[in-house]
Order: sequence, then structure tokens, then C-alpha cells
Amino acid sequence: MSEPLFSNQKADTPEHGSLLEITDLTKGYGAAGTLPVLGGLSFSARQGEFLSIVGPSGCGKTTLLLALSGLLAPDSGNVTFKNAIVSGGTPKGMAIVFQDYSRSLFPWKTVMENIVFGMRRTADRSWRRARAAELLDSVGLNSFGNHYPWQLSGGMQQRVAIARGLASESELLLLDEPLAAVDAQTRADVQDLLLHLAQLFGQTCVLVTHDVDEAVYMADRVVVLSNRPTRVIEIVDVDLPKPRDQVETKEQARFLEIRHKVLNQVRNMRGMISEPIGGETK
Amino acid sequence: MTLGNVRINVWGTVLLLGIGAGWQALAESYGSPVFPGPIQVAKAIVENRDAIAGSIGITLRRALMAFGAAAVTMVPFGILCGRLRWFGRIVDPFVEFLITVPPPAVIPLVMLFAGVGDEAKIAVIFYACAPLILVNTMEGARNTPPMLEQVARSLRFSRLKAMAQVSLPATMPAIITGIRLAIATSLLVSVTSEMLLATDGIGTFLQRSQESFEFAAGLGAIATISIAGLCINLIIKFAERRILFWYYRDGPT
Amino acid sequence: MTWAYRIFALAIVISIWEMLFWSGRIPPTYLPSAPMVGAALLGLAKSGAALQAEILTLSRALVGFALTLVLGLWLAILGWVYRPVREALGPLVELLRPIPPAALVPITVFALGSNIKLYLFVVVFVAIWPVYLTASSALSGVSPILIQTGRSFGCSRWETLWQVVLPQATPDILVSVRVSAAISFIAVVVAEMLAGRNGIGYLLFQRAFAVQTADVFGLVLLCGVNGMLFNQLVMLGSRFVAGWHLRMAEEVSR
Repeated sequence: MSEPLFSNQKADTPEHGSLLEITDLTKGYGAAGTLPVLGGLSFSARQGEFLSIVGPSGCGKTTLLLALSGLLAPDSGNVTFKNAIVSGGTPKGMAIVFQDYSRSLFPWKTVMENIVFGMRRTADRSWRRARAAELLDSVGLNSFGNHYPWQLSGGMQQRVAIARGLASESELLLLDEPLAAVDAQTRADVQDLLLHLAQLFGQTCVLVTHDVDEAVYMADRVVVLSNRPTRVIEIVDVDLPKPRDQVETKEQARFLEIRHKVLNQVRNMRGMISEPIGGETK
Repeated sequence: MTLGNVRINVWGTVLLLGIGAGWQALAESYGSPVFPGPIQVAKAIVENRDAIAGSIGITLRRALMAFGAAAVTMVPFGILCGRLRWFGRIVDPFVEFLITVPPPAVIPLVMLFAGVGDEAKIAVIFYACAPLILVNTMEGARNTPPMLEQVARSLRFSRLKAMAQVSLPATMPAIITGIRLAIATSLLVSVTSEMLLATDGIGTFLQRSQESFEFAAGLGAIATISIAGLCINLIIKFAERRILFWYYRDGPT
Repeated sequence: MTWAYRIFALAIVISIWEMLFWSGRIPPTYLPSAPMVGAALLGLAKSGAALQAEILTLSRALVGFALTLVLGLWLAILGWVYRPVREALGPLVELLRPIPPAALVPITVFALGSNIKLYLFVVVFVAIWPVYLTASSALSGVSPILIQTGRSFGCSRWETLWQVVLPQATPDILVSVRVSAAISFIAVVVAEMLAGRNGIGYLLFQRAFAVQTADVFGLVLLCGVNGMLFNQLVMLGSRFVAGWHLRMAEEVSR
């Protein structure tokens, strides 16, 4: 592994005192771990930062996210959230936005009811609807509260999912390739919306994506993953000014440098892929 | 649990054996011929094997004849109704009404008209099977995406060829659904008709055994019906998978 | 629009019927005129025989149907929670499913007598399979992403079942409920025909043996009406429980 040029921190050590710490995470499928997916991952997410995780197809990004959220038990290593080990379910303070919004938003609930569902772990019932209306407004869907999710477009549905995630008042928002199934124009809008909301609510975000441009554009730091068995190759600091702009930021020399570096690393990894896991390419 | 290539249903086997054992134990403790255990039932089947085989043969023959008649008439008719929209819309209310009257309700009527013989029973089974095949075929023919035929035509297929080689296979899943339901129903109604219009067949055998208090034989008849039905269902399942392998390519529905 | 076709079809049927009757080809014993059937029905209604039979049959069917639903759903849920239950029931279901209600009646009537227990047993035995099988497959067919979503927001396994899996599976289950309702009714009629002392099924055969053809036609029509009634009731219930799904289907088909 080449000496990282852009980070000021060794790729393998999580920082103590971070909101989320991942230490030597491994996970394999098949009998006796015949199919190793995660081969010892270590990194961390600091409070208030926007962390992107990027890697070649099939490197187990979704597996990683499921492990981070406690929905999947790792084989070894652990995930620490707010200094407590994550196991047996998603801890309070964490919320997930899934890629497949059509299978994640509840079709029998209205948009408003979906968002209220996100609040089920917060104590106060009295002003849930008011808060949901606020959130709906902040994602720009304030007249769609009584619609059903399937009556909205893809981008709009994903915004509802984001609002639902925010509704849970979680410190950490995990996003699993949320914009992969959304058209390009909407993607740009939702990216900016996410950045804006993250800053507004002081939200720590961990975004898993295959899109390098997106990863660099959104993040404060980018975690670059290797092939299976996946490890962290590098953690890149993205020292670009915020707030970001779709046109301005992407023209900056620094952006192009970082993008170039990360894209190359991912591309090199791609050439070394052996075979997909049963059809799935994440 | 897998043994080589075959999946063995462990819990299922356990339950069946458990029920069998429990039943036998209960029967023995009861100790009367009116409460036979599985062993007695098996013995009764073996003792009466000729009668049972003959009876179930008759039942199946009638079911098959009626089903065949229904399939042969209703598939083309259904395709016609599905393709000629206006005709289909006229036929709809008739079928709608017929579906609400279940086959058993019709049996007394048939008895008045046709007595209790073979024809009566076959008529009843036909009545039960026909709507199933017709409705499914109609739906399938209606819902075949016209795009498929257009593609065929754009490749210079003649109209007839397009229909036969493209539209028909596309309608097959729906037709086969109707056929599957109809076959299962045919056995069911065949037995029912034999019990209500008792002349011969396994249904009659069942009833007569009950009347002469030969409960083991009666239960044996039920077991025979069950196994016959099971075999038919399995055959249909395999045939369906083979014929419609392309339809199930994304996994069994 | 569909009602226009229906009335048109009814008009055709009645016309052909009357033509056949008036042509004298088929003796009235076999084919009474439509008004005769109507009169017969009225006669039955006035004598209270039809009404009494109707109430008996319907109540048996409804109770049996309710029991079937409860048992079928409960078994499916049990099978969802405990995998061994689901696996164990598999072969048993396949063995018991092909048995027609008629075949059960002689033995059941001997063991339980000709009373409500007979009807309940027969109905449940026959009508439970569509509900159980469909519910079972619907429950396990719920997208894992939906379940993960529920769990990620803090749902326990139990809460996931009631708040996520069941609502999602409900539309499919409701379709099988309709089927089951129809089967329940038929099962009661069949049992009445074979071993009953009252009810529509019993009345049907009694009138048939007495060659009261008009009565028989009338009663057959009554069966049809009952079937439609059951169907509409279940549809209404469906709309109430899972109206969202019907609207979604309409949207998608547009």
C-alpha cells in the first residue's frame, strides 16, 4: 500500500472520542467464512462531520452499513457508538436512509405518517405532527403530507426518507447509496439539500456511495475501501470550503486533485475483482 | 437439511410421524373398530386394493374427461373473448354470475335433468372447471401486451404467425394457471358428485364403507383421495416449471 | 357501464329461457318459466322455509369462516416466528389440502353428530388452506429492506411483525380471505346436502327429490345471491382494512 499523500492520519486507526468508531471489523458469508467480505476495517466518524465511504462494486458497502447500524452482527471487531458497543439492533441516536426508497417507505402510511414513524423513539407525542410538518418543509415537500409515498417521484420519496431519518433526532445519519436510484438532476438537488440540512441540524452523516464525484463533493473526509476482503486503503481529507456549490466547487483545482486520486484508487481496485457474490454487486 | 442434492424436510417428517404415532396410540387405547389407527387404515387399503383402485380409476377418468372437454372448449373461447373486446364484455356478466353459483349447488338441478349417471357427474365437473379456465384465459388474452405482437409484426411475421408464436406463448402463464386450478377442482368435484349422486367411484366407495361401518376402509378412501390429489398437484407443479421455465426465471412465484 | 352489460345479459337469458318454455319443447317439470321460479321463491319465502334455511346456512358459514380466519392467520404468524412450525406444517398441508369437504362429512357426522360442530369442523378443515398458505407466503415475502427499516427505528421483533410485516402482507392475505369465504359457504351447503337436517343444502336436495323444479331453481339462485353477498362483504372489509392498496393499484395501472 502506498504512503497516503493526502491524509494526516494513518488509515487503520480509529480516533478515540469520535462519535462512531469502527475497529477491525470483519464479516464473511458462507460456511466457515468461505466468502470473506469485510476483512478488517478500522476508521471513525467525528462529531458533526460528513464522512463519505467509497469503494469498488462488490466490496461490501451495504454489508458495512448494516454492521455499523447493528442490523448485522460482525464476525469480529466492533462498532462503537457514543462509547457503547453497537450490537443487537440500531442504537438510539442512529438512523438509516436506504437506497431502495420504494421498499423502505411504508406504502400504507402517508408521507406525514412515515415521518412520524421516525419519531417513535423520542418521548414526546404532543408535538410530533408539528415537528413532522417542519421537517417536511425543510425537505421542500410541505404540500405533500397527505400523499402516499408511491404517489411521489423517486427524488421526492428519497427526500421523505431523509426527513424520516432526521425525524428520529439521531446524532448519526447513515445513508446507503441514497441517490443511486434517483435521476441525475434530482441527485444534485438532493445532495445540496443533504449538505444544507446536515449543517442546519449539526448532523453527523456517513454516506456510502459508489459515485466518487458525489463522495468528494459531499464529504469532509473520504474513506476509500479496497476490494474484497475489504480494508480501508486510505482516508482522504477534503479540505474544500463549505458551503459547497455544484458548479463552483467542482471546478476548483483541489477538487479535481482529490477526485483524481480517489478515482484512480477505486479504478485500480476494480481490475482486481474476482467474482460477484451471488449476483449482488455491492 | 440436505442429503446430497435432496432437501429433506426434517420438521415435516417429525410432525407426520408424531401425528401417526399419536393417532395409533389413541386408537389402540380406544380399542374399537370405529376408531381405526393408521395401521388399520393401511391394512384396509391393502385388503380393498382392487375395489379402491377401480373406484379411484373411475373417479379420475370422469374428472379427466370433463376437464379435457372444458379445456378444449374454453381455451379457444377464452382467447376469442380476450382478443375481441366487445365479445368479451358481453360474455363477462354470464361468467360473473356462473361463478357465484358453486358446483355443489348445481348438483340437485343436474340430478333433475340428467339423473345420477356418468353424464350427470361429468356435466357437473365440466361446470366446475369451465369458468376457471375461461376466466383465466380471457384475462391472459386481454392482458397480453400488444407490444409483443407489434414487435413480431415489425419483424414481418404474418398475423396468424404472430398470434401463434408470440401472443399464445405470452398468454400461456395465465392459461396454465386456469388449467392448474381446473385440474385440482376436477378431482374435488368428481368425488363430491359421487357422494351426492352415488353410483360408483371412490366417493361412493367412501360413503358405502361408512354406511356399513367399515371406518378403516372409509378412512382408507380418504387417504387415497388425498394421495391422488397430492400426486396430481406435484405433476402439475413440475410440468408448469418445465413449460414456463422462462416465466419463473426470477424464482418461483 | 358494466351494469349495462349485466342487465343486457340478464335480459338475453330471461328471453331465451321464456322462449324455451313457451316453445313447449321441454316439459315444465324440467324447465319452469321465469315467473314460476319467481313465484316459487316467493312461496318459499312466505312459508319461512327459505328464510330459515338462509339464516341457518349463513350463520354456520360465518362462524366457520371467522374461526378459519383466526386459526389460519394465527398458524401463519406462528410459522413466521418459528421456522420449524412452518416447515413442519408444509407436508401436512399438502396431504390434507386435496380432501374435498364432502369426503369428510360421513366420518365427521358419525363422530360429532349433525350439529354446529359438524359444520365448523368441515368448514375449517377445507377453508383454512388458502388463508394459511397465502398468509404464510405473504409474511415471509415482505422485503427485508422494509423489515430492516422497522428495526432501524427501534422495532422489536414483535413490533416489526405487527407494525411492518402484517400491514405489508395484508393486501395479499385479503385476496385469500375472499376465496376462503366462498369455500366456507360451499362447505356448509355440501355438508347440509349430505348430512344436514336443515339449511339451504338440505332444502335443495329435498325439493329436488320432490321434483319441485321451480323451487330448486329458486334455491340455486339463492345460493348465487349468497355468494355475491359474501363477496361484497369481504370487498367492503378489504377496502376498510387496506384501502391504500386498492388506490395504489389504480395509480400504478394508469
